[in-house]
Amino acid sequence: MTPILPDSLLVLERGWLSANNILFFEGEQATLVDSGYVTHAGQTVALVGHALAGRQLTRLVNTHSHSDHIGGNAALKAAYDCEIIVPAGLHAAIADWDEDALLLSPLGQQSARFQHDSLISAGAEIAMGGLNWQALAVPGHDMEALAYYCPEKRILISGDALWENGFGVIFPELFGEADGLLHTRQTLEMLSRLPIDAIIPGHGRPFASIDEAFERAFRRIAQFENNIEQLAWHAIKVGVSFAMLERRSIPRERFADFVFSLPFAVDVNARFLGMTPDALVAKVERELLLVNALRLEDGMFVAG
Amino acid sequence: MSAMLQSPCINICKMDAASGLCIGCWRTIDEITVWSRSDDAARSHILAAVARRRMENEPETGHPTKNSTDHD
Ligand SMILES: [Zn+2]
Repeated sequence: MTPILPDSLLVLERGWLSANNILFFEGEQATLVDSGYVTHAGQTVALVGHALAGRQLTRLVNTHSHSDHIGGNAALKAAYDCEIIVPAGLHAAIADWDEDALLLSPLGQQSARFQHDSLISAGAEIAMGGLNWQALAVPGHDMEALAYYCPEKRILISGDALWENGFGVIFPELFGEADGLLHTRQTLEMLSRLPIDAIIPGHGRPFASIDEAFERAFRRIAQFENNIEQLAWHAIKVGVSFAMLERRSIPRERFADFVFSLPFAVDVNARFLGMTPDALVAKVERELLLVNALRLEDGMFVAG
Repeated sequence: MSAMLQSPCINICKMDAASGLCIGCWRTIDEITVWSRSDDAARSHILAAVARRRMENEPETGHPTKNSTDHD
């Protein structure tokens, strides 16, 4: 079921390469949550401009610093001179534009550099669309990520911490940087105790089937806890698919080099799976074709 | 509100200046903007318009021309 959302917010539903953008109306002003992927920034600015209908975009708030959520920040700043507000834990990574910490280099992704104007910390409250939202720490997919929760309307803006079907790849676990599995579980437990009627996820449509989403998410984290190789394999497939969405198409004979050019895929394989390069590419090819994340057209692999 | 129809977005999210349509999903800026607030009746209206534009542009395959997807 599609939830009924307040009139003071509008979800610009995007795809997988660009995260959803959520626009909040505040009289003559407006606030946006997340800005999509950099190659889509022109459309993001146009969509926001159309929805603003003469209002002024004064603030842009991010849930976390992955490329599909911050890629339009620079373009929106240039177009609207809005204040950019990011989760406090990301201050250094953004200020220094640390392409490893921002996962740009490991995943072979691009972004456009921006500077934030201020920080928001877990526990803070922010008014958006005439409603009060609590910033909640949701470590797991990203250790510094924030979700935004409105107790009055029982709405959660979950970013990539929870989707209708699963959650974002648990990168910190795979990089050996933090106990990402444990944090993901604890984040899900914390969120599942909140009274929620509607979730606006980072990707996919807003949804009201909350219990089912938590059931799927808990089932999935249990699978990963029992079998870390499953997480590693899932992450490689997602990483390659995402990179292909940006690339669009590639000659079949160059696909292997493309996979090897993604440090994340190579590192995760070396650390968790230990497949030979040929076996890795063959398996990625086979499984992405199977789920239509790749299509073979005239000797070219095309993103699904 | 019942809205089960899926978004036609295929992650090629760039507007064609001449036609005013997204080169990936053939929707106007307004149609993309209102999608999440649209019920299935409105969505099927948009999807029908998308199908019609596709046919008019490239009747044989219904795919956008190669040039128009080349956005790198
Ligand atoms: Zn993310």
